[in-house]
Amino acid sequence: MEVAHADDVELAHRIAAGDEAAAEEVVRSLGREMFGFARRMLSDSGAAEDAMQETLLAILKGASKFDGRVPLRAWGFGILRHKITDTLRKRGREAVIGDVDPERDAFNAKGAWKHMNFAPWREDEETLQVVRDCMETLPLRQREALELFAVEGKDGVEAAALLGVTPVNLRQILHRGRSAVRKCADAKLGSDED
Amino acid sequence: MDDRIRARCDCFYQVLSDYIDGELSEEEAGLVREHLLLCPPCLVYLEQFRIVHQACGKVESDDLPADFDVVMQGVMTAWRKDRCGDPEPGS
Ligand SMILES: [Zn+2]
Repeated sequence: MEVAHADDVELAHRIAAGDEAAAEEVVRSLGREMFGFARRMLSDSGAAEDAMQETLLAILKGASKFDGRVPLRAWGFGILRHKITDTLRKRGREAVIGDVDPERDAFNAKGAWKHMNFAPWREDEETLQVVRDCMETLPLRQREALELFAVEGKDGVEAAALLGVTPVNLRQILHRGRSAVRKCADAKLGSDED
Repeated sequence: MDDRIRARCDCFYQVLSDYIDGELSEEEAGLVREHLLLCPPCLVYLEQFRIVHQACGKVESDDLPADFDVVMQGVMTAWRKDRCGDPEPGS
């Protein structure tokens, strides 16, 4: 069988053999990014630091088990996602997948909005805060998609790989996540009121 | 996709994220813009969506904790310890 990510496998072998430079390379290249993602997900620097640290150590210790079926980075992010999920679960936030389009009932048979009374939001700090608060109420999967997509940048192919979904699937998760945040924020900011 | 995007708000809505992210073809993006010209509610909706999008991308990924290097070194040290045990005193 051909190994898809031979360079990563070689790097992992070196780590498993105790190569300090290889370990440092992985820690340096992933640490910053993992911290950013964890902090967005957990909204807490201390908890993010813990999750990142535990994940990096797990990668180094588990390097001999890495088989190259996915990139090392995706493998590592998989570990990080588990740790984040655990932390959120301990806080009492269940990982629910948002399967339903938030606007599924918003249109009439002709495809027009049933309620068209959208009012513009002010672009100020208060609005941003409301939007961020709403982001925290999202199902975990959608939140991950939004945060990862922001980290990974535009094309999202890598974000999809990290989440274990197809790019098409990611786009749908992303769209529903944004849509849910918009709806939540609009309810709080008042323009949905008649 | 076809010119239902121009005529229907629900079809416009379905491609909105793709539009914001620049994932649509030039032709499809043109239909979106035509819809927006004709449909004030969707224009407001788009602006709200954009704010959501920007709020998400806006997290200062640069302000790492002050002790970040220490934390990274901590990972390396814990790894060494795991492999080799505690360093011998005086070595
Ligand atoms: Zn419309």
